Amino acid sequence: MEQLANIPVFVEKNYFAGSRFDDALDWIEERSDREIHTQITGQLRESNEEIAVEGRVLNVARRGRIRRIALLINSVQKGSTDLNGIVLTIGSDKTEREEVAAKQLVLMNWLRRNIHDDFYYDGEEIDHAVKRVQELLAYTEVDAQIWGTSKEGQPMYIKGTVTNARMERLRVGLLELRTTPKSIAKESSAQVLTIGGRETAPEIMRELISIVPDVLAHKMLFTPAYARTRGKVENVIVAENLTVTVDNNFDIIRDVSFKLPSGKIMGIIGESGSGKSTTIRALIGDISPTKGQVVIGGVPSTQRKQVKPIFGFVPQDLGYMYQNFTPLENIIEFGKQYGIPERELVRRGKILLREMGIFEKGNQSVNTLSGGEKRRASISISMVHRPQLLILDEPTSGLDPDMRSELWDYLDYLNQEYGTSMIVVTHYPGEAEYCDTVGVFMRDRSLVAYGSPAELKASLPGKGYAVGIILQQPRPGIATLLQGVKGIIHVLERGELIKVFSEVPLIEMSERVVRALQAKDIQIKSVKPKMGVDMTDYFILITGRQLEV
Amino acid sequence: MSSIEPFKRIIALTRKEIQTIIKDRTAMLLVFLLPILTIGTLALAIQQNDIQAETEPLIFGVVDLDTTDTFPGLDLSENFTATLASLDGITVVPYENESDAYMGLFLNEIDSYVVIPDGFEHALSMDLPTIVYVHTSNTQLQGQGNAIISVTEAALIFRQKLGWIRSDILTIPEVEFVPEGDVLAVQVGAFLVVFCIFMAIALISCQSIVGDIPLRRMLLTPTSKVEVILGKISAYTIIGMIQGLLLLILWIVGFQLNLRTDLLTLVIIVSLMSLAGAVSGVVISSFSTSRLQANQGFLFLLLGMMILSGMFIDVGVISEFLPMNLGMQLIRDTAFKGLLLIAGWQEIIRILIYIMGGIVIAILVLWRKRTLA
Repeated sequence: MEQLANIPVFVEKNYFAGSRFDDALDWIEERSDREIHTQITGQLRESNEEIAVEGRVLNVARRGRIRRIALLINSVQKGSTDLNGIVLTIGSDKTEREEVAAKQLVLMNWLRRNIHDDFYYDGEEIDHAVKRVQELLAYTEVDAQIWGTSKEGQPMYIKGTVTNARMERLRVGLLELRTTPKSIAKESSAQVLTIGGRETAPEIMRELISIVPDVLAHKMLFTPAYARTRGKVENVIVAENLTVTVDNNFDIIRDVSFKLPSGKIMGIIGESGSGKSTTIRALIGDISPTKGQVVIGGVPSTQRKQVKPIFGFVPQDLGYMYQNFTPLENIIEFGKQYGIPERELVRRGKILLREMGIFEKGNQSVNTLSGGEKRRASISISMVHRPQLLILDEPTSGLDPDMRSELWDYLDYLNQEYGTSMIVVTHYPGEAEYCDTVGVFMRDRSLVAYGSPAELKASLPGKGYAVGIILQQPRPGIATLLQGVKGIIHVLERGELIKVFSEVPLIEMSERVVRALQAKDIQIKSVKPKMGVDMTDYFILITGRQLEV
Repeated sequence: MSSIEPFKRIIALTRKEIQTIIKDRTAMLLVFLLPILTIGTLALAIQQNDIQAETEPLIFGVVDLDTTDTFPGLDLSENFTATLASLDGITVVPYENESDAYMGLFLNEIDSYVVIPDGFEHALSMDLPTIVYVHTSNTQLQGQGNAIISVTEAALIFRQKLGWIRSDILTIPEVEFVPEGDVLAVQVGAFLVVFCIFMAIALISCQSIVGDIPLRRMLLTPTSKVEVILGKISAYTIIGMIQGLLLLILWIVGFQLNLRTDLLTLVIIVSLMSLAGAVSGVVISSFSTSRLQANQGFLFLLLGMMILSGMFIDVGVISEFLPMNLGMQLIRDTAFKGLLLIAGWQEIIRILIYIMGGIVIAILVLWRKRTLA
């Protein structure tokens, strides 16, 4: 079941009365590729119970006299609680057909692409369902949840895996389902059941195709195997006491622990040899940690088969793509390994290439692309299975500053559009500013700091601010010279800019520094008493590269 | 996880691998140009016709049909047989009739048989030239020349020993189990068909893992290492089968051969060779940590297989375990002798054991390797 904890900060909202149901359908249809959620207040037709529920829109139907929304219920604010996780069909306030007569609808566009691969059909649409399931079965397994009635007319809920989908004579669609032992009407053991559409009466079925289905479906929700792991969790990755020891008892990383909330971007910065790459390899299960554990998307990384579809990995080396293939061919070849149908891969691939600005290069060999284009192609490959977590190993290395900035814009877009969490290893500390959280690694000490860029900078003396000074003439050894000034904790030289860190109020500190410099006849060009600190300053200070006063 | 999914992934990997090869012009050149060049070279070699042979131990069958008794006190045909038996490295097995000797040759009990015709003694005693027929097997290229040389030598010694014989004893070679066509093209061609398929596929597949850098990334998808090995072997086997078909057509049509088996049998044999070659290459590739190592591994395989092929030296029992030798044996039994493929079940099983063993080794080696180097 999806959790409300993941509602984004910004959503597009609109209110509709039940009598304006058609307008609500229009609103949803205009945003057909977006993830739409709905809060409904209305009445369960069967029991006349008043309910208030929230759920994700699976699809809308507008055919003949039918007008309805299929909603996968996420939470129940009012009414029966056992509606959680089931599909309800919503109609207007006057509906005589759908399960809920809506009095009020609050539609919410989550402003991101609908990446859910589950799909819904009404019982009478079984021939369409069969066709779509048949296509999928050629590539992967398909799970199904069926709400319907048994031969005897008892209500039934069946959950299982589709073993067969076929069209009988006269376009009568039939599904076969290996069920898991759960049913609304009665407890049952695992078995294979035939599923027919609800519109066809058992007698007619017997007459037409000599088969009476075990269940006549009213509602059908299908989930391909590659989308099984799409459930959201609060923290997309949790690393606990991760330690990797090499043969000579040397810990490459030691007790690395962090959590990354879903939908956030985490940056990893650190010195060379500080264990960044080892951490990444331990996270994805490429090397087994000596101690500790990693849970990705709620699945321990030791369960490699289950965890692989949850994350995507973008290696630093651009050679990890088939150079003679086009970006689209690469996307297809890698994507097939997740069991995604080729047609769907082509569709997703084209969207990704367009989003990454290399659509027109989609049919050129990878080896003809520029470094930046290759990098974006590589990211597209890792995104095709819509991972919950994307891990990027130094994606901006080898790019000029403009292209680095551009690439971060693309990453930010993917994060927003797909809700994909990211871990980005970078050796440019300044890039950590793009991230929600940052982990800082140091040689022999592993993870030494973890938090948002603002939190990390606020941990420095001056709480994220410093006195900024520019001298008329550059003066070597200025840090040593300022050593005697009371209250200075750090002095940082970055080009001609000198930053002075202190716990003393910065105005006062700036006056002290000016007096000290004047006493030495050093001419000052400018002084900024309260200058912002960036992540590069933070990194230089925390790794101890700068002279500590 | 679905039981069909690994299968689908293997198919996807196979397709990807074939696409990779098709897009790699050098690999395509290796696959298709190499066989054409090899068969072309054979044609050139046949034109020059300077194949040399060396004398080696031989088992002769002798069918003595001579009933004449015109030389008092000495049976000349028996004496000729004794002379042949006295030569170094020659063993003689007597046969009552030609059909028994033919069967002995068919079953590889003897390397060759000599037929001494009726009237042998009469002709010699009347100073008339006479002949002996030397029947050799087309399945033993080396043995053919050696047999003729030995019988000719025996005839010379026989004449010298008796002193009075003035007439010639002519040795007439008769090659058995020869499909219609050029004898050398049949013999060497068969070797080249097997050799080219096995080696060309081993050559390109020995880069299949070590040279496949993106594979490490592919292994971060749900693909398993077992699926990767099977996918790669399948792809290279398919390429080998296509190559094999091309070679067979070149061999049969180019030299206008009329082999004693059908095309399907030959395709099955070359498919087995292709599979064995692909497995050999993938095993080398899985062991190698650089392309150079893979090349060296291939060279080792190439030289080893050539030396041990049995075409140049007798390798004894080793011949019964090496896939190329077994493939050659299958070709000889079917295309030359006209046996059904099922008669070679022991060879087929040994080839399959080699293939299975190779697959297991490749999987075990790859299992220990990490995803991202």
